[in-house]
Amino acid sequence: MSGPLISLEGVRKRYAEVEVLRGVSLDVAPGELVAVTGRSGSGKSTLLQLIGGLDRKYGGTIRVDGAELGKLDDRALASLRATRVGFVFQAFHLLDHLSVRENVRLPGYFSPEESHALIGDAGLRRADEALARVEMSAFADARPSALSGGQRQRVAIARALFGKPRLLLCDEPTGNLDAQTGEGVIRLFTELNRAGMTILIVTHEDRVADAATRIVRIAEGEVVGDEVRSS
Amino acid sequence: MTTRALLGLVRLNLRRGRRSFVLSAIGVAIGIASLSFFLALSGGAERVLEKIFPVGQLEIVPKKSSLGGPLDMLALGGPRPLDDAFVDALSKRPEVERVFRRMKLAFPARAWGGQALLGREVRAELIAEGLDPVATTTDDLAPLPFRGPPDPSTLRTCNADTECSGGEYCPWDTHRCETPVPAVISPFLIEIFNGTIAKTHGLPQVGPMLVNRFRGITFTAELGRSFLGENVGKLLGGLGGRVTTNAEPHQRRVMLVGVSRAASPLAISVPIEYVRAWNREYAGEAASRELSSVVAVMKKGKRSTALVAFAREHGYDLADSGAEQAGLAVTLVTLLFALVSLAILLVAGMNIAHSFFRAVAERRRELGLLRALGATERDLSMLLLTEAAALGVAGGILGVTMAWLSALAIDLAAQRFVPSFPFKPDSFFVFSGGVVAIGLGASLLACLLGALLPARLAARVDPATALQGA
Repeated sequence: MSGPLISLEGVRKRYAEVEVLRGVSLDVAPGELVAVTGRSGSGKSTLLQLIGGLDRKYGGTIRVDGAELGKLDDRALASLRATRVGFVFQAFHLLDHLSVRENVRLPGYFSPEESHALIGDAGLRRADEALARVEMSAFADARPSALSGGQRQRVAIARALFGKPRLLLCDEPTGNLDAQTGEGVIRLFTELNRAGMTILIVTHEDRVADAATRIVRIAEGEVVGDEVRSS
Repeated sequence: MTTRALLGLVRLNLRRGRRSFVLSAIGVAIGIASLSFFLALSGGAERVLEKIFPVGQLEIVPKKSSLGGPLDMLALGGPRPLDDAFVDALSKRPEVERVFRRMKLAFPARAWGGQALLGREVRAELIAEGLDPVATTTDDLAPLPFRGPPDPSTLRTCNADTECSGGEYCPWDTHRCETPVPAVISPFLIEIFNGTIAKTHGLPQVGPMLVNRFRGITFTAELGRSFLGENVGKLLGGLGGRVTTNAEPHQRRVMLVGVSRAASPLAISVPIEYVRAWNREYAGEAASRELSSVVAVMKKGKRSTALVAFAREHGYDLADSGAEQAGLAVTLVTLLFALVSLAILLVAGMNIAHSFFRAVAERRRELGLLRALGATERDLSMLLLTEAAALGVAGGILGVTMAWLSALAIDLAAQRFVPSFPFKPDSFFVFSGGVVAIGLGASLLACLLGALLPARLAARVDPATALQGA
């Protein structure tokens, strides 16, 4: 694909009286591993939510994989999240009443095209493939509460990979992990990126930014730096 | 989200909250159990009422004047007599399916017999009524058909019973071989006999087997004569002003041919043409024309209001059977208990609403996550409503089962501990498909209504806000 996978033009976002994003423009090409850095409250997490279509109230234009988010209805936006975008959160957000395998195949229930197949055996097979990719196959039947922080984040990444998305959006993915565990997760992102996955990571940690192919710095709701690095 | 996916997700969620699901289902079930119980009880009461009072028909009678009795005759013309002309007009009404007539014996008569059935001969005044044979067409009657007397000219002459054949006998006044007069009795009469007379006199109760046994039993009726004495008999007849003094008493054989719901509840019913002929002979021509009542059987689904007005316009009245009051009493009691049940259900529904509101608050982050994973607003709404529907179905099944088991226990206790009484049913309850459907439907409705607002709330969960923070 020749065009950018993510394209933002003059994106603005306001919470009450506070303007969190002030005309952000940004293009992310397929295959990039972009770290969006900035201090707390700089608007980087908000930017991630807007790109993921989790928040629909904004100004400007956002295109993801060719689709202009502002023109999509709830159904089309949900379909985009289910099939083309995977989310990884700082707090993992795993459901403890489900096993690791069931957590991973959860997106299959909402996959519009393949939903019928993905809630059956095919879904379980795909969940197992995703778990194998993050080296968590041995814990497929465990409950998330029985896992360490790093293991939980790997399961969360496996869940994000379940729908075979083109884009992975990660919000402070190492924020709740110790240095050693965080390194493992960063390594995993690097491997996924080398395999062709486009990844956008919001982080305030330098070690995460160091692994990126590009670093976008945000301050006061504006892009103040955009550095392409050699991987 | 496909239905299969939705059900799969609901199954996962219900597995998590088994305890709260069971507790909520019990809450709903209590309301449904009481609703189903009282509806079934009302159905049972209606079934008994139908046994006592025929439904779907109106019995029209001559209007009684305020003077009453023989003094009616002194009033201006007396009450308007019920005659065949009115029957013709009535049968042409669009809401009427068929009409049958009744005519009382207008003179004294007495009867004896019953040795074969009761072990001893019983003598009593004959209380009989003529009934249109058309009223008995659906009854199983044997060994004689229930129909009027044959043309006398077709009957063989005789001097003794031995000269007749095939169950015929030779009345001494006609000297012609005649079949006995067929008679039917009302199931009401059997219930009264079973519930009171049989018990107090130590006689066997009349069940279906005994009913079959007494078919074909004959007794003798003596027309124009009373056990109360000649003069009293004449006086009794004279109160109606109809007994002719010169009619000779005659004996006729009467044969019981079965049970009919159309039969008079407190008299033996014979084909109306017999009574007409006898009234003509013993009470004069006018008595042979005057009907005691006319029963109009309504077409299915037709209302009786217009027919009541029609009867009253023609100067007639409706027989006061008590059915209306009894039916009204049952309806009111059912309504009262149904309201109590609905109140219980309302409370259950509010509890469900509360539970679901709490669940939405507790699962806010989870709902946000599902949105991030591809759920639409509608998916989340449907998820909660389907969980509520599952609760409704479970509560409904549990509630109807609880009601059914309670009814079963009451029926068993009643069979064992409550002595027999007239019209005592085998079961006091009717668990019809309608009762089950209302139980399940009400349960489903209460749960869905309870979950409606929480479901809307769930659909509006903002994923960005819900997923914020660690």
